[in-house]
Amino acid sequence: MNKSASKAERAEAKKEREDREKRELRERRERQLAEAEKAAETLEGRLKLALSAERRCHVLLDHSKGFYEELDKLAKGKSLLEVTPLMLEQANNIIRDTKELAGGDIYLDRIKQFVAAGNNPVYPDVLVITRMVRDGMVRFRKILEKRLVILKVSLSKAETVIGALTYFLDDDARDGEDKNCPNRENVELYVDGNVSDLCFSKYGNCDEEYFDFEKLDRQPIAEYLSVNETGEANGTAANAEEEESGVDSADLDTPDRREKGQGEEEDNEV
Amino acid sequence: MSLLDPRAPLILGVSQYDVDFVIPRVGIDVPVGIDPFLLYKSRDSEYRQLHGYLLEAFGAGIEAIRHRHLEEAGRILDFPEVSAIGMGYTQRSKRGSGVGSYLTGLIIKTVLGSPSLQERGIRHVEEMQLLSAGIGPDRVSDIAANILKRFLIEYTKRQCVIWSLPVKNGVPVNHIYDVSSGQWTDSYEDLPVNPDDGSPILLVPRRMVRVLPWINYDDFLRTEFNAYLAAKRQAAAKHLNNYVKEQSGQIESNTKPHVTTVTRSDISLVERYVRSREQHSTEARPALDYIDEDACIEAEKLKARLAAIQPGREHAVDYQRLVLEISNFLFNPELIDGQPEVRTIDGTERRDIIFTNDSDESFWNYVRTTHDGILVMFEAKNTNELGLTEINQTATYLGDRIGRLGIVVTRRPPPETVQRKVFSVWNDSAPQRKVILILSDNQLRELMDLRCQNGSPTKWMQNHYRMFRTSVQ
Repeated sequence: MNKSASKAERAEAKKEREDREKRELRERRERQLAEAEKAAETLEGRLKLALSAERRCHVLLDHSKGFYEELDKLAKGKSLLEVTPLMLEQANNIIRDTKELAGGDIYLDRIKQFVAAGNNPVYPDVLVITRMVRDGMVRFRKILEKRLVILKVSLSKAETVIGALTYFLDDDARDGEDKNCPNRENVELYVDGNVSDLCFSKYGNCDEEYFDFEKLDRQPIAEYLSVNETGEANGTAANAEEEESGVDSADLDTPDRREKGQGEEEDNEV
Repeated sequence: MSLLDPRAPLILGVSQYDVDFVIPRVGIDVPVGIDPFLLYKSRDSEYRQLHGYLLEAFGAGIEAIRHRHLEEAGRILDFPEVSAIGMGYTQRSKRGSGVGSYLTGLIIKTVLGSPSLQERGIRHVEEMQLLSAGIGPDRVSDIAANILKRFLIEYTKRQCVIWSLPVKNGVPVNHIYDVSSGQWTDSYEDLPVNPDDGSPILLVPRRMVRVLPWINYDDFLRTEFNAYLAAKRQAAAKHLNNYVKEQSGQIESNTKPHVTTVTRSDISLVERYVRSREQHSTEARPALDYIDEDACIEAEKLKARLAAIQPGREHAVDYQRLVLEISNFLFNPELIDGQPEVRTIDGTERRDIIFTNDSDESFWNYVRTTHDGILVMFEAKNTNELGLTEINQTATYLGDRIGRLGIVVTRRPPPETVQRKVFSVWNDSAPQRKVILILSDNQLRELMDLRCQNGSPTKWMQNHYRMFRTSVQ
């Protein structure tokens, strides 16, 4: 009697513990979903800004190309002649717009708008500065292109995480499935577009890939999605890129950099 | 005194470089004259008004001639030589040819002989050189000195106060033109006098003197009249007409009597030439050639005096005066009529030094147009530690009345906090931004060395200004 009673108690206690763990896991997943949605929103905002910057960069490069070419023609044989007020205004507009767009480039930061103060600058000076500004813009465009790729990857990752978490929390999902191990197919049902390969791992000898909740649980969502990237743990490649570009790494959201520092397996995939 | 070098300055204790006026000499005239065109083109309304007085007086004389009131015309157009200004082209003595009444007769005769001149009047007194054989640059200066004598008296008094020059009370001065009544008057004034003969000395601003007036006969002959002759020659060659040939041969004799005969009958020649000179007015600059002091010696003297003044409130007045002298040395005649201790109308504020910016140099021209003012303020701060209070005070002074560029002259380079404050004054005063430039002793020395090497302190200031503007970007 005592034996059976204690068995029943143990079973009840076990059930209670399992229920509590389930409840806690669900609550955790709900928190993670909220955080992932917030992170996705942030990443979307950044992506929009980067896309807008890319468009402006393209237009500015195009605009300044014509200006530079004409200036180059006009400058020939006019080494000591002052540029016209119109040329000066245009050159200053290009400098100002570029500096606004590509802030953080130390070489661009050193370039200032011309101050006529009674005498406009001479043709060669304006020509050289316009060239330097264009070079700065080209550097910025390269950085921007990389940044766009990274942001798109991060956003896709965020959407995949949201998909996996929604699947987990979806009570209408088919019973009997192990919600802790959603496969690609399960997650795809909750994601518009493609899911990110970076969120899936293989287990044991199985060929199929499953969403890696373990990895997700090891770090805060923002960190997992590289939303709070500061660039402090960058590798040499990042530093080299900075030196080459003159752009401060703090301006870049580069999950690959940080993950390289952490030695994660998926780095190679990125 | 008569044993002295006749070229020695008549006023002692000041250097020609450091003051706003032309220092007369002991025994000879300074070989320059007042050029009314410099008044005409001035941005200073007072100077332009003086030019208006000249034309008014002369116009009244012409009007009297037109109505055949020759006695009245003779009274108005009475321009004896003004030896008190000590200017002229006579190298042997201080007395010119003394042809006051002769000049009057000449002017009347010229106007009488030219109905077109009576009809048109004159735009510039200097035109008389082109219309009368007997009138040259010195006569133009005489005419101006006579009509502007009241201004010259007041200017001289002001300069005597600024530079502490000794004056004699109640010196008789005659033949002063009264603008309101159109009469010549005499009066007693407190003026400096020539120690040799006790005659009054009148100081003339450096800004209004040139060796030759901008509108002058030689230039007219070389440009407009030559073109006129060329056109005549062409006409003669085309028609092969003996009569025309004879006529052009007469005209081609370009002696002044012949030329003035032509101009009196065809005033449009004068009109065209004058218009062209007006169009090139920015090139009309005051003369500097008469300054025969050594700029390097003067620079060294000023540097030594600067080093001798200790920082601190008790030497502030000496420092202020020295800054005025150094500024004159560096920037006159671009910045003129430097006046210390200028109070606002209500007396609540007092600016250390105010200059009038009547420059044609591109930088000062830019300052005048971009920072809204014909005045440039210098604040002399005899301290080693320029503080935020001084910058705030200077920023308060800048505005519509005084313009928006001020220069703070102080002993040492400003600390970073002050530099940042200067930037914030610029940033906070948008859209009508205020600029405060700071000059330290070292920079003043650098500028004086530049002046000694015949460099341009104005260009240096332009770069200094640019550095400020680019730093604040």
